[in-house]
Amino acid sequence: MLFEVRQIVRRFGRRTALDGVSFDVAPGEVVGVLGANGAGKTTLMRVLAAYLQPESGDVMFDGRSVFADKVGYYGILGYLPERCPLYDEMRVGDYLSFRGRLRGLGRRRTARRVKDVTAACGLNEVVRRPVGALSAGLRRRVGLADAIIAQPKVLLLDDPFAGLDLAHAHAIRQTVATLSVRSAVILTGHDVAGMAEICTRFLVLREGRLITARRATDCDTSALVQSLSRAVAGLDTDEVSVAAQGGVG
Amino acid sequence: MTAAGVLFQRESRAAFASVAFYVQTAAFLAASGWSLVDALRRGDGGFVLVPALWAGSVAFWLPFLSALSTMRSFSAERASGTLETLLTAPISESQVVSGKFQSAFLVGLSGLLLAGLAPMVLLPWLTPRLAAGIATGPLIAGLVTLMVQLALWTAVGIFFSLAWEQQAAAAACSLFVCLVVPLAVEAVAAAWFPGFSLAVVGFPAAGWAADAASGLMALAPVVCYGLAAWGFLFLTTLLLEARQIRTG
Repeated sequence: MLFEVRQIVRRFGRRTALDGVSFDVAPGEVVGVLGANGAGKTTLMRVLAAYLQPESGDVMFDGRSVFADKVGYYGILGYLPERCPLYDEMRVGDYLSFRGRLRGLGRRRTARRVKDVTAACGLNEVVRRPVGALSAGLRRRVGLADAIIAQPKVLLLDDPFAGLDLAHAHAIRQTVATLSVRSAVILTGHDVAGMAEICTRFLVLREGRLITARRATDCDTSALVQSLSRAVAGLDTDEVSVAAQGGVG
Repeated sequence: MTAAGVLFQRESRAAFASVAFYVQTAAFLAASGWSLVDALRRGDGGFVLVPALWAGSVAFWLPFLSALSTMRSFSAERASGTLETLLTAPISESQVVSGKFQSAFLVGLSGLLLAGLAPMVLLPWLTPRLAAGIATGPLIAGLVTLMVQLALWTAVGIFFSLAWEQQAAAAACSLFVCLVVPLAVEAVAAAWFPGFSLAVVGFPAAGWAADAASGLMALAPVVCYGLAAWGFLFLTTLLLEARQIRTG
Protein backbone atom coordinates (compact mmCIF):
# COMPACT_ATOMS: atom_id res chain seq x y z
CA MET A 1 0.00 0.00 0.00
CA LEU A 2 1.44 3.35 -1.01
CA PHE A 3 -0.32 5.90 1.13
CA GLU A 4 -1.91 5.15 4.48
CA VAL A 5 -3.87 7.55 6.67
CA ARG A 6 -4.37 6.26 10.19
CA GLN A 7 -6.85 7.63 12.73
CA ILE A 8 -6.04 11.32 12.15
CA VAL A 9 -7.33 13.66 14.83
CA ARG A 10 -6.79 17.40 14.50
CA ARG A 11 -8.32 20.09 16.69
CA PHE A 12 -8.35 23.88 16.54
CA GLY A 13 -8.99 25.00 20.09
CA ARG A 14 -12.16 23.25 21.20
CA ARG A 15 -13.31 22.46 17.67
CA THR A 16 -12.41 19.06 16.25
CA ALA A 17 -11.64 19.51 12.57
CA LEU A 18 -10.72 15.87 11.90
CA ASP A 19 -11.91 13.03 14.06
CA GLY A 20 -10.31 9.63 13.49
CA VAL A 21 -10.01 9.77 9.72
CA SER A 22 -8.49 6.63 8.18
CA PHE A 23 -8.10 5.42 4.60
CA ASP A 24 -5.54 4.03 2.18
CA VAL A 25 -4.65 5.10 -1.33
CA ALA A 26 -2.89 2.78 -3.79
CA PRO A 27 -0.76 3.90 -6.74
CA GLY A 28 -2.95 4.68 -9.73
CA GLU A 29 -5.95 5.58 -7.61
CA VAL A 30 -7.66 8.95 -7.80
CA VAL A 31 -9.52 9.58 -4.56
CA GLY A 32 -12.07 12.37 -4.39
CA VAL A 33 -12.81 13.87 -0.97
CA LEU A 34 -16.23 15.48 -0.75
CA GLY A 35 -17.95 17.42 1.97
CA ALA A 36 -19.83 20.59 2.71
CA ASN A 37 -17.92 23.78 3.56
CA GLY A 38 -16.22 23.35 6.93
CA ALA A 39 -16.38 19.57 6.80
CA GLY A 40 -12.59 19.31 7.21
CA LYS A 41 -11.42 18.81 3.62
CA THR A 42 -8.75 21.51 3.63
CA THR A 43 -7.49 20.51 7.08
CA LEU A 44 -7.25 16.91 5.86
CA MET A 45 -5.24 18.01 2.80
CA ARG A 46 -2.93 20.09 4.98
CA VAL A 47 -2.33 17.13 7.25
CA LEU A 48 -1.73 14.84 4.27
CA ALA A 49 0.74 17.45 2.96
CA ALA A 50 2.52 17.31 6.36
CA TYR A 51 1.94 21.04 6.65
CA LEU A 52 -0.20 20.53 9.73
CA GLN A 53 0.76 18.10 12.45
CA PRO A 54 -2.16 15.98 13.70
CA GLU A 55 -2.81 15.66 17.43
CA SER A 56 -2.88 11.90 16.99
CA GLY A 57 -2.75 9.42 14.17
CA ASP A 58 -0.24 9.24 11.36
CA VAL A 59 0.19 9.51 7.61
CA MET A 60 2.43 6.83 6.15
CA PHE A 61 4.05 6.67 2.75
CA ASP A 62 5.62 3.34 1.83
CA GLY A 63 5.45 2.28 5.47
CA ARG A 64 7.17 5.37 6.89
CA SER A 65 5.63 8.32 8.68
CA VAL A 66 5.71 11.41 6.47
CA PHE A 67 6.25 13.55 9.59
CA ALA A 68 9.51 11.72 10.39
CA ASP A 69 11.22 12.94 7.19
CA LYS A 70 9.18 15.84 5.90
CA VAL A 71 11.79 17.18 3.49
CA GLY A 72 12.16 13.73 1.92
CA TYR A 73 8.38 13.44 1.62
CA TYR A 74 8.07 16.89 0.05
CA GLY A 75 10.43 15.67 -2.65
CA ILE A 76 7.78 13.24 -3.91
CA LEU A 77 4.77 15.40 -3.12
CA GLY A 78 2.85 17.73 -5.41
CA TYR A 79 0.45 19.97 -3.54
CA LEU A 80 -2.04 22.57 -4.69
CA PRO A 81 -3.44 24.45 -1.66
CA GLU A 82 -7.02 25.68 -1.64
CA ARG A 83 -6.13 29.39 -1.97
CA CYS A 84 -3.61 28.65 -4.71
CA PRO A 85 -1.02 31.12 -3.41
CA LEU A 86 1.53 32.38 -5.96
CA TYR A 87 4.14 35.13 -6.20
CA ASP A 88 2.21 37.79 -8.10
CA GLU A 89 5.25 39.78 -9.21
CA MET A 90 6.87 36.84 -11.05
CA ARG A 91 6.23 35.82 -14.63
CA VAL A 92 4.57 32.42 -15.04
CA GLY A 93 7.65 30.83 -16.62
CA ASP A 94 10.00 32.28 -14.00
CA TYR A 95 7.71 31.14 -11.21
CA LEU A 96 7.60 27.57 -12.51
CA SER A 97 11.37 27.57 -13.03
CA PHE A 98 11.85 28.76 -9.46
CA ARG A 99 9.59 26.03 -8.12
CA GLY A 100 11.32 23.37 -10.22
CA ARG A 101 14.75 24.45 -8.98
CA LEU A 102 13.45 24.59 -5.40
CA ARG A 103 12.33 20.99 -5.86
CA GLY A 104 15.85 19.99 -6.72
CA LEU A 105 15.53 19.72 -10.51
CA GLY A 106 18.64 20.75 -12.42
CA ARG A 107 18.62 23.78 -14.70
CA ARG A 108 18.11 21.82 -17.94
CA ARG A 109 15.55 19.45 -16.51
CA THR A 110 13.64 22.38 -15.04
CA ALA A 111 13.54 24.10 -18.43
CA ARG A 112 12.25 20.88 -20.02
CA ARG A 113 9.64 20.32 -17.32
CA VAL A 114 8.45 23.94 -17.50
CA LYS A 115 7.76 23.40 -21.20
CA ASP A 116 5.94 20.14 -20.48
CA VAL A 117 3.73 21.44 -17.68
CA THR A 118 2.86 24.71 -19.37
CA ALA A 119 1.70 22.68 -22.37
CA ALA A 120 -0.16 20.17 -20.21
CA CYS A 121 -1.96 22.91 -18.27
CA GLY A 122 -2.65 25.16 -21.26
CA LEU A 123 -0.36 27.96 -20.14
CA ASN A 124 1.73 28.45 -23.29
CA GLU A 125 0.00 31.74 -24.11
CA VAL A 126 0.65 33.29 -20.71
CA VAL A 127 4.11 31.99 -19.88
CA ARG A 128 5.62 35.51 -20.07
CA ARG A 129 2.81 37.24 -18.22
CA PRO A 130 3.07 38.23 -14.55
CA VAL A 131 1.14 35.87 -12.29
CA GLY A 132 -0.65 38.82 -10.71
CA ALA A 133 -2.24 39.69 -14.05
CA LEU A 134 -3.88 36.28 -14.50
CA SER A 135 -7.53 35.38 -13.97
CA ALA A 136 -8.50 33.08 -11.09
CA GLY A 137 -8.81 30.12 -13.45
CA LEU A 138 -5.38 30.69 -14.98
CA ARG A 139 -3.83 31.10 -11.54
CA ARG A 140 -5.23 27.73 -10.56
CA ARG A 141 -3.70 26.18 -13.65
CA VAL A 142 -0.34 27.71 -12.72
CA GLY A 143 -0.78 26.19 -9.27
CA LEU A 144 -1.48 22.81 -10.83
CA ALA A 145 1.55 23.14 -13.11
CA ASP A 146 3.63 23.89 -10.02
CA ALA A 147 2.23 20.81 -8.25
CA ILE A 148 3.11 18.45 -11.09
CA ILE A 149 6.41 19.95 -12.24
CA ALA A 150 8.58 17.43 -10.37
CA GLN A 151 6.44 14.43 -11.41
CA PRO A 152 5.28 13.67 -7.87
CA LYS A 153 4.33 10.24 -6.56
CA VAL A 154 1.67 11.76 -4.33
CA LEU A 155 -0.50 14.53 -5.73
CA LEU A 156 -2.78 16.48 -3.39
CA LEU A 157 -5.14 18.94 -5.06
CA ASP A 158 -7.36 21.04 -2.84
CA ASP A 159 -10.35 22.17 -4.87
CA PRO A 160 -8.44 22.18 -8.20
CA PHE A 161 -11.47 22.95 -10.37
CA ALA A 162 -12.66 26.03 -8.48
CA GLY A 163 -12.94 29.03 -10.78
CA LEU A 164 -12.35 27.03 -13.97
CA ASP A 165 -14.70 27.15 -16.91
CA LEU A 166 -16.07 23.87 -18.25
CA ALA A 167 -13.48 23.46 -21.01
CA HIS A 168 -10.52 24.12 -18.75
CA ALA A 169 -11.92 21.99 -15.96
CA HIS A 170 -12.26 19.13 -18.44
CA ALA A 171 -8.68 19.67 -19.67
CA ILE A 172 -7.35 19.67 -16.12
CA ARG A 173 -9.29 16.50 -15.34
CA GLN A 174 -7.62 14.81 -18.30
CA THR A 175 -4.20 15.99 -17.09
CA VAL A 176 -4.90 14.61 -13.60
CA ALA A 177 -6.14 11.33 -15.08
CA THR A 178 -2.90 11.01 -17.05
CA LEU A 179 -0.81 11.71 -13.95
CA SER A 180 -2.67 9.13 -11.91
CA VAL A 181 -0.97 6.34 -13.84
CA ARG A 182 2.18 6.87 -11.78
CA SER A 183 0.88 8.83 -8.79
CA ALA A 184 -1.58 8.46 -5.95
CA VAL A 185 -3.95 11.39 -6.40
CA ILE A 186 -6.21 12.82 -3.72
CA LEU A 187 -8.39 15.78 -4.61
CA THR A 188 -11.20 17.69 -2.98
CA GLY A 189 -14.05 19.57 -4.56
CA HIS A 190 -17.77 20.18 -4.79
CA ASP A 191 -18.43 19.23 -8.40
CA VAL A 192 -19.40 15.59 -7.84
CA ALA A 193 -20.32 14.95 -11.47
CA GLY A 194 -17.04 16.40 -12.77
CA MET A 195 -14.97 14.51 -10.24
CA ALA A 196 -16.80 11.29 -11.11
CA GLU A 197 -15.10 11.43 -14.53
CA ILE A 198 -11.68 10.70 -13.03
CA CYS A 199 -12.04 9.53 -9.44
CA THR A 200 -11.81 5.81 -8.75
CA ARG A 201 -13.05 6.25 -5.20
CA PHE A 202 -14.90 8.84 -3.14
CA LEU A 203 -14.74 9.70 0.53
CA VAL A 204 -17.30 11.96 2.16
CA LEU A 205 -16.41 14.02 5.22
CA ARG A 206 -18.93 15.53 7.57
CA GLU A 207 -17.89 17.50 10.66
CA GLY A 208 -14.41 16.00 10.50
CA ARG A 209 -15.56 12.40 10.30
CA LEU A 210 -15.40 10.10 7.33
CA ILE A 211 -18.98 9.06 6.82
CA THR A 212 -19.02 7.40 3.42
CA ALA A 213 -16.60 5.64 1.10
CA ARG A 214 -17.69 4.62 -2.36
CA ARG A 215 -15.86 3.05 -5.27
CA ALA A 216 -16.71 4.55 -8.62
CA THR A 217 -17.44 1.05 -9.90
CA ASP A 218 -20.10 0.40 -7.24
CA CYS A 219 -22.91 1.66 -9.44
CA ASP A 220 -23.50 3.69 -12.59
CA THR A 221 -22.32 7.29 -12.65
CA SER A 222 -25.66 9.02 -12.24
CA ALA A 223 -26.60 6.84 -9.28
CA LEU A 224 -23.17 7.41 -7.76
CA VAL A 225 -23.42 11.19 -8.18
CA GLN A 226 -26.88 11.19 -6.66
CA SER A 227 -25.82 9.03 -3.73
CA LEU A 228 -22.73 11.13 -3.02
CA SER A 229 -24.64 14.38 -3.32
CA ARG A 230 -27.12 13.10 -0.74
CA ALA A 231 -24.29 12.04 1.56
CA VAL A 232 -22.63 15.48 1.28
CA ALA A 233 -25.95 17.16 2.01
CA GLY A 234 -26.36 14.94 5.07
CA LEU A 235 -29.43 13.12 3.74
CA ASP A 236 -27.94 9.60 3.66
CA THR A 237 -27.70 8.65 7.30
CA ASP A 238 -27.64 4.88 6.80
CA GLU A 239 -24.00 4.99 5.66
CA VAL A 240 -22.65 6.74 8.75
CA SER A 241 -22.14 3.57 10.69
CA VAL A 242 -19.96 2.08 7.96
CA ALA A 243 -17.38 4.82 7.95
CA ALA A 244 -17.53 5.79 11.58
CA GLN A 245 -15.76 2.54 12.40
CA GLY A 246 -12.67 3.80 10.53
CA GLY A 247 -10.32 1.92 8.25
CA VAL A 248 -12.23 2.64 5.12
CA GLY A 249 -10.09 1.07 2.47
CA MET B 1 22.61 24.89 -6.17
CA THR B 2 21.05 24.27 -2.77
CA ALA B 3 17.39 25.01 -2.08
CA ALA B 4 18.49 27.88 0.18
CA GLY B 5 20.51 29.26 -2.73
CA VAL B 6 17.52 29.05 -5.07
CA LEU B 7 15.39 30.88 -2.51
CA PHE B 8 18.13 33.46 -1.99
CA GLN B 9 18.22 34.14 -5.74
CA ARG B 10 14.47 34.59 -5.97
CA GLU B 11 14.26 36.83 -2.93
CA SER B 12 17.19 38.97 -4.06
CA ARG B 13 15.80 39.42 -7.56
CA ALA B 14 12.39 40.33 -6.16
CA ALA B 15 13.96 42.83 -3.77
CA PHE B 16 16.19 44.53 -6.34
CA ALA B 17 13.32 44.69 -8.84
CA SER B 18 11.02 46.46 -6.40
CA VAL B 19 10.58 50.21 -6.16
CA ALA B 20 10.63 49.90 -2.37
CA PHE B 21 14.31 48.91 -2.45
CA TYR B 22 15.34 52.07 -4.27
CA VAL B 23 13.15 54.30 -2.10
CA GLN B 24 14.42 52.85 1.18
CA THR B 25 18.05 52.88 0.03
CA ALA B 26 17.74 56.50 -1.12
CA ALA B 27 16.18 57.46 2.23
CA PHE B 28 18.95 55.64 4.10
CA LEU B 29 21.68 57.36 2.06
CA ALA B 30 20.05 60.75 2.55
CA ALA B 31 19.66 60.26 6.31
CA SER B 32 23.16 58.89 6.92
CA GLY B 33 24.65 61.52 4.60
CA TRP B 34 22.84 64.28 6.47
CA SER B 35 24.12 62.89 9.80
CA LEU B 36 27.70 62.84 8.50
CA VAL B 37 27.54 66.37 7.14
CA ASP B 38 25.99 67.58 10.39
CA ALA B 39 28.75 65.90 12.43
CA LEU B 40 31.44 67.42 10.22
CA ARG B 41 29.86 70.88 10.49
CA ARG B 42 29.65 70.69 14.25
CA GLY B 43 33.31 69.80 14.24
CA ASP B 44 32.72 66.92 16.62
CA GLY B 45 35.71 65.17 15.26
CA GLY B 46 38.76 66.58 13.76
CA PHE B 47 39.91 65.94 10.37
CA VAL B 48 41.51 62.59 11.28
CA LEU B 49 38.26 61.19 12.62
CA VAL B 50 36.27 61.30 9.40
CA PRO B 51 36.01 57.46 9.20
CA ALA B 52 34.78 57.39 12.80
CA LEU B 53 32.20 60.11 12.13
CA TRP B 54 31.04 58.25 9.04
CA ALA B 55 30.73 54.89 10.86
CA GLY B 56 28.84 56.48 13.75
CA SER B 57 26.48 58.30 11.37
CA VAL B 58 25.69 55.20 9.35
CA ALA B 59 25.32 52.92 12.39
CA PHE B 60 22.38 54.91 13.74
CA TRP B 61 20.40 54.53 10.51
CA LEU B 62 21.22 50.87 9.83
CA PRO B 63 18.37 49.51 12.00
CA PHE B 64 15.93 51.57 9.91
CA LEU B 65 17.32 50.15 6.68
CA SER B 66 17.22 46.56 7.94
CA ALA B 67 13.72 46.98 9.40
CA LEU B 68 12.47 48.17 6.01
CA SER B 69 14.32 45.51 4.02
CA THR B 70 13.16 42.61 6.23
CA MET B 71 9.59 43.59 7.06
CA ARG B 72 8.20 41.95 3.91
CA SER B 73 10.32 38.82 4.21
CA PHE B 74 7.91 36.44 5.95
CA SER B 75 5.01 38.84 6.57
CA ALA B 76 4.16 39.04 2.88
CA GLU B 77 4.41 35.25 2.54
CA ARG B 78 2.05 34.81 5.48
CA ALA B 79 -0.43 37.35 4.18
CA SER B 80 -0.51 35.93 0.64
CA GLY B 81 -0.44 32.29 1.75
CA THR B 82 2.75 31.46 -0.19
CA LEU B 83 4.34 30.30 3.05
CA GLU B 84 2.23 27.14 2.70
CA THR B 85 3.67 26.29 -0.72
CA LEU B 86 7.16 27.25 0.41
CA LEU B 87 7.01 24.99 3.46
CA THR B 88 5.65 22.04 1.47
CA ALA B 89 8.60 22.18 -0.95
CA PRO B 90 11.63 19.97 -0.21
CA ILE B 91 13.45 22.63 1.78
CA SER B 92 14.01 22.59 5.53
CA GLU B 93 12.94 25.42 7.81
CA SER B 94 16.55 26.34 8.51
CA GLN B 95 17.23 26.59 4.76
CA VAL B 96 14.21 28.85 4.34
CA VAL B 97 15.45 31.12 7.13
CA SER B 98 18.97 31.04 5.70
CA GLY B 99 17.80 31.99 2.20
CA LYS B 100 15.63 34.83 3.50
CA PHE B 101 18.38 36.10 5.78
CA GLN B 102 21.07 36.10 3.10
CA SER B 103 18.84 37.96 0.69
CA ALA B 104 17.82 40.63 3.23
CA PHE B 105 21.46 40.96 4.31
CA LEU B 106 22.53 41.51 0.70
CA VAL B 107 19.92 44.25 0.31
CA GLY B 108 21.19 45.97 3.47
CA LEU B 109 24.80 45.46 2.44
CA SER B 110 24.24 47.15 -0.90
CA GLY B 111 22.89 50.21 0.95
CA LEU B 112 25.83 50.12 3.33
CA LEU B 113 28.39 49.89 0.51
CA LEU B 114 26.72 52.77 -1.30
CA ALA B 115 26.95 54.78 1.92
CA GLY B 116 30.66 53.89 1.98
CA LEU B 117 31.14 55.89 -1.20
CA ALA B 118 30.71 59.07 0.84
CA PRO B 119 34.06 58.93 2.71
CA MET B 120 35.87 57.00 -0.04
CA VAL B 121 34.87 59.03 -3.10
CA LEU B 122 32.54 61.94 -2.42
CA LEU B 123 34.27 63.67 0.50
CA PRO B 124 37.82 63.59 -0.97
CA TRP B 125 36.42 64.86 -4.25
CA LEU B 126 34.29 67.63 -2.75
CA THR B 127 36.73 68.60 0.04
CA PRO B 128 40.30 67.72 -0.96
CA ARG B 129 41.69 68.90 2.40
CA LEU B 130 39.85 66.00 4.09
CA ALA B 131 41.37 63.37 1.80
CA ALA B 132 44.56 63.06 3.83
CA GLY B 133 42.58 62.19 6.95
CA ILE B 134 40.59 59.36 5.39
CA ALA B 135 42.69 56.23 5.81
CA THR B 136 41.59 52.98 4.23
CA GLY B 137 42.35 50.78 7.26
CA PRO B 138 39.99 52.49 9.72
CA LEU B 139 37.33 52.73 7.04
CA ILE B 140 37.47 48.97 6.45
CA ALA B 141 37.42 48.30 10.21
CA GLY B 142 34.33 50.51 10.47
CA LEU B 143 32.73 48.79 7.50
CA VAL B 144 33.33 45.32 8.96
CA THR B 145 31.84 46.43 12.28
CA LEU B 146 28.80 47.83 10.50
CA MET B 147 28.39 44.58 8.56
CA VAL B 148 28.35 42.59 11.81
CA GLN B 149 25.75 45.00 13.19
CA LEU B 150 23.73 44.72 9.99
CA ALA B 151 23.74 40.93 10.37
CA LEU B 152 22.18 41.23 13.82
CA TRP B 153 19.59 43.84 12.81
CA THR B 154 18.67 41.71 9.78
CA ALA B 155 18.27 38.60 11.93
CA VAL B 156 16.04 40.56 14.33
CA GLY B 157 13.97 41.89 11.41
CA ILE B 158 13.56 38.42 9.91
CA PHE B 159 12.36 37.11 13.27
CA PHE B 160 9.69 39.78 13.64
CA SER B 161 8.57 39.49 10.02
CA LEU B 162 7.69 35.88 10.81
CA ALA B 163 6.08 36.75 14.12
CA TRP B 164 3.80 39.40 12.59
CA GLU B 165 1.58 39.17 9.52
CA GLN B 166 1.40 43.01 9.33
CA GLN B 167 4.55 44.46 7.82
CA ALA B 168 4.29 47.72 9.77
CA ALA B 169 4.09 45.83 13.08
CA ALA B 170 7.12 43.74 12.10
CA ALA B 171 9.14 46.86 11.25
CA ALA B 172 8.05 48.63 14.45
CA CYS B 173 9.04 45.67 16.65
CA SER B 174 12.35 45.36 14.83
CA LEU B 175 13.12 49.06 15.37
CA PHE B 176 12.07 48.82 18.99
CA VAL B 177 14.49 45.98 19.71
CA CYS B 178 17.37 47.32 17.61
CA LEU B 179 17.15 51.00 18.50
CA VAL B 180 14.87 51.81 21.42
CA VAL B 181 15.98 49.01 23.76
CA PRO B 182 19.75 49.76 23.41
CA LEU B 183 19.09 53.50 23.85
CA ALA B 184 16.97 52.85 26.94
CA VAL B 185 19.56 50.50 28.44
CA GLU B 186 22.27 53.08 27.82
CA ALA B 187 20.20 55.84 29.38
CA VAL B 188 19.35 53.75 32.45
CA ALA B 189 22.98 52.71 32.86
CA ALA B 190 24.08 56.33 32.62
CA ALA B 191 21.51 57.37 35.25
CA TRP B 192 22.48 54.65 37.70
CA PHE B 193 26.23 54.86 37.30
CA PRO B 194 27.41 58.50 37.31
CA GLY B 195 30.85 57.53 36.02
CA PHE B 196 29.22 55.94 33.01
CA SER B 197 27.62 59.23 32.00
CA LEU B 198 31.06 60.52 31.13
CA ALA B 199 31.07 58.08 28.24
CA VAL B 200 29.15 58.79 25.06
CA VAL B 201 25.49 58.41 25.94
CA GLY B 202 23.64 57.44 22.81
CA PHE B 203 23.27 54.53 20.49
CA PRO B 204 25.84 51.95 21.68
CA ALA B 205 26.28 50.41 18.24
CA ALA B 206 27.20 53.82 16.83
CA GLY B 207 29.82 54.27 19.52
CA TRP B 208 31.27 50.86 18.81
CA ALA B 209 31.37 51.46 15.05
CA ALA B 210 33.04 54.84 15.61
CA ASP B 211 35.61 53.22 17.91
CA ALA B 212 36.39 50.55 15.33
CA ALA B 213 36.84 53.19 12.64
CA SER B 214 39.20 55.05 14.99
CA GLY B 215 41.48 52.03 15.25
CA LEU B 216 39.94 50.63 18.45
CA MET B 217 38.56 47.45 16.93
CA ALA B 218 37.53 44.98 19.63
CA LEU B 219 36.77 41.31 19.11
CA ALA B 220 34.28 40.87 21.98
CA PRO B 221 31.46 42.93 20.41
CA VAL B 222 31.95 41.12 17.09
CA VAL B 223 31.48 37.79 18.85
CA CYS B 224 28.50 39.09 20.87
CA TYR B 225 26.72 40.53 17.84
CA GLY B 226 27.48 37.40 15.79
CA LEU B 227 26.14 35.11 18.51
CA ALA B 228 23.05 37.27 18.95
CA ALA B 229 22.39 37.16 15.18
CA TRP B 230 22.75 33.37 15.19
CA GLY B 231 20.42 33.20 18.21
CA PHE B 232 17.70 35.21 16.46
CA LEU B 233 18.00 33.05 13.33
CA PHE B 234 17.71 29.94 15.49
CA LEU B 235 14.62 31.38 17.19
CA THR B 236 13.14 32.16 13.76
CA THR B 237 13.68 28.55 12.68
CA LEU B 238 11.98 27.29 15.84
CA LEU B 239 9.10 29.71 15.34
CA LEU B 240 8.72 28.57 11.74
CA GLU B 241 8.54 24.93 12.83
CA ALA B 242 6.06 25.76 15.58
CA ARG B 243 3.93 27.82 13.18
CA GLN B 244 3.38 24.76 11.08
CA ILE B 245 1.76 23.12 14.04
CA ARG B 246 -0.43 26.09 14.91
CA THR B 247 -1.41 27.26 11.43
CA GLY B 248 -5.09 26.80 10.80
